[in-house]
Amino acid sequence: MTPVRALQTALAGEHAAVYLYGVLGGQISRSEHPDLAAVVGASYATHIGRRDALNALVVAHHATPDVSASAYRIPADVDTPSGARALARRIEGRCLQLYGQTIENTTGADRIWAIGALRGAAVDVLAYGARPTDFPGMTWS
Amino acid sequence: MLAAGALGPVVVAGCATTTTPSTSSPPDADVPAAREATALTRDAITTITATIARHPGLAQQLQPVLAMHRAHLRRLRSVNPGATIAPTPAKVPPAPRRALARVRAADATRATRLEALAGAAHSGGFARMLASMAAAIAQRSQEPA
Repeated sequence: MTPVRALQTALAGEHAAVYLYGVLGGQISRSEHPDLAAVVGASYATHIGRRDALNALVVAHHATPDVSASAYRIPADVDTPSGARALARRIEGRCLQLYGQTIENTTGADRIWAIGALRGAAVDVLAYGARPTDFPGMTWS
Repeated sequence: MLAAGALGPVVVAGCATTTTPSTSSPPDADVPAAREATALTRDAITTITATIARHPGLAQQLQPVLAMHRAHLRRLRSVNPGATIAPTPAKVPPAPRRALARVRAADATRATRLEALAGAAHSGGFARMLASMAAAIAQRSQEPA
């Protein structure tokens, strides 16, 4: 996998993450579940930042960043706290794999950025009830 | 309101294109990094083992961290079975809170170093593994003191 393809694949994951956290933010009641709503809001902001950073990294390779898919399938139960947490764990889990893949297929500043993103996602997923693992971002974690 | 199943073919884009990481033995150029990562991990195991021995009340908090470092050491040895110098047993502070803080601080330093080694590694698969180890340490550092 080329560095640009790795970055574009991570970017696709971030497009999805931004979309899905946006949906979650609209589904979770701030008055009934303020802590969860706050965490989801923070994740939304984090993934917007990562999406924009990946856009810039792709452009730095003189490539055109892939755009977001037109739509993403939403699980049925995201309007419940447990369903929202489950989707968030899934989003972060996918991002962990994508950042791991980016680390593996890039060098220099691209890789260093992905290392930070991997660390961030590994910590963030804990807020949604995931347990720590010995090798986050590895397929045999 | 968004209807379930109405919005397209994928839940998280990119998930179908992840590759299986390569973590076979690193190239010769990465052997020094592998040895350093192994030494860092052995030092963590020695320090945490000594801390638990001195402060059994910290065992519940530190055993999962110790198990993580041991898992890392097993993986490092599987990719680089070369010997490393045995770490010097650490002096453990007499106060449990201070001992725990020292373990946490040392792990944070180790994670930073593992990330630096990952950034410079010649093998992408080895870089991924080192970064993953650092991320695992970061996860464990989130647990309450």
